[in-house]
Amino acid sequence: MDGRYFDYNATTPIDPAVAAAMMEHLSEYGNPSSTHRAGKTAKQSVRQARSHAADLLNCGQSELIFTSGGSESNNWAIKGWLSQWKGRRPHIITSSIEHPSVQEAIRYAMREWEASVTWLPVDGDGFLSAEAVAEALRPETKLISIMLANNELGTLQPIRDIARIARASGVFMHTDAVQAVGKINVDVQELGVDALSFSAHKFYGPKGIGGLYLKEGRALEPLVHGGGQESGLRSGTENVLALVGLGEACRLAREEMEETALRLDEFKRLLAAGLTALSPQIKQNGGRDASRTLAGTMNIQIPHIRGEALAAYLDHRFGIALSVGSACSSNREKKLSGVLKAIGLQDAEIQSSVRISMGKYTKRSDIVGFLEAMEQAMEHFCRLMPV
Amino acid sequence: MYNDIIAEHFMNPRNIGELEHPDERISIGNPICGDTIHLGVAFKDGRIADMKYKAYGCATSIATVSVFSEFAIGKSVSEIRKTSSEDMEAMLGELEPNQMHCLDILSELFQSLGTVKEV
Repeated sequence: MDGRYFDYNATTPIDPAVAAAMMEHLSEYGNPSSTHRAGKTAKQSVRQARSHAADLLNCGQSELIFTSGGSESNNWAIKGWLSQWKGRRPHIITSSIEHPSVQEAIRYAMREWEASVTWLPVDGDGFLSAEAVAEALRPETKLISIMLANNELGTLQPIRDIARIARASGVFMHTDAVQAVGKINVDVQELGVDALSFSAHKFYGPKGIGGLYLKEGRALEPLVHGGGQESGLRSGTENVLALVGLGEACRLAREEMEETALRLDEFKRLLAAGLTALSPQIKQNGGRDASRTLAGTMNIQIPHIRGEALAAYLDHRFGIALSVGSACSSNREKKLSGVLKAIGLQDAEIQSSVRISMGKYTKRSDIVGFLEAMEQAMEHFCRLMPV
Repeated sequence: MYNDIIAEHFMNPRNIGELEHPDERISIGNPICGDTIHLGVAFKDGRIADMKYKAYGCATSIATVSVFSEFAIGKSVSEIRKTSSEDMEAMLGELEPNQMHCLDILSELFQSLGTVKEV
């Protein structure tokens, strides 16, 4: 695997075992809804995928609905739940650092269903407090949607505590766990949420497939009406091949994630020490508490160097892939990371920020190579820097 | 994402540095995106003999000033003044929408240098 890839939070390489499983099923063309042998074989593949996914999340197989991925799951959980209060001004509690697929689905509910929203702030480290959720509750609160792990900072939110508050108040609790599933142990029984979104390509599965956990007894407005697949909630012939990949990715995640997280935690510390040695001016954005952050995610700012330019240099010179906190837009506006704004960073700090995200194929030697490349990059930009 | 001209100039910017005794200093910046360029120009026999700059900004803006410096050295101010906007566009190659602001930077560089008094 490519040791220059440091953008695992954007997507991950497909695990060779996942690819092999998919290749093995490539010639299976049956429709899982058909009653003949070809159909039964496909149905068995879907069933097996559901079994692996349910094992990973510790839920019942009937509590899983497969979707096209995280954005669809997030949209559906929010709209599918809130649609029963159309025009009745439901109140939503969410955070200021949610993924756009949550934020935009909520804005849709505001526009179309007159929903009101409490966008809870996070602290300077990117953490939300469960107490703030409790304080934001209103009699008309119908939904709490808070992400489990943040894609940019890797911060983990106290979902178990928030779900307890939601349960005590009878409020539906959804969490976007796209960045958490497959990286840390995500047990829906332990979390106590009503709905949870996940996506296979974030943990070495194929793109375009994911799912929504929906607690037994909870009902959403069906997303796709039709032939009744996925318990009648999301009709349409199943993406069998992608599901085979998702299932295998879930199976592997159970086996590997703990060991991977331990290794990445060590690499993160190695990276932090190496970056500080390169320049004490390099600062880490967001919380550093290892028990409350994803092991593979680190967000840093390098003063006086534009993150976009740094990422471009590392990409062109070394083939290193990173993600940036801001992008050029035009002379009149700039696109700055809403998450980094939410933790109180100034525009210049956001423009100087990059996200490094590692995964199970990252090796110690990759960290060393990355630090060497960073040293050269910083020399390059120092030559350019206005005094 | 970056065309060949931008990538080449960004990775290997020409004429970086500071002139010890520039005849002209030009500073341009965009308050919104924060791009900043400090340029020193030296003239000899009515032509731009040397040009050095320091720059902070996105990859495309750094490439832009590099492209500009390479073009300008050896030219007279009147030649700079006569450069058409079509020629300027061609210098940077095809840009993506989010890189178009660098055309404004290039145009501003031409304009600033075009208004200096020839030495």
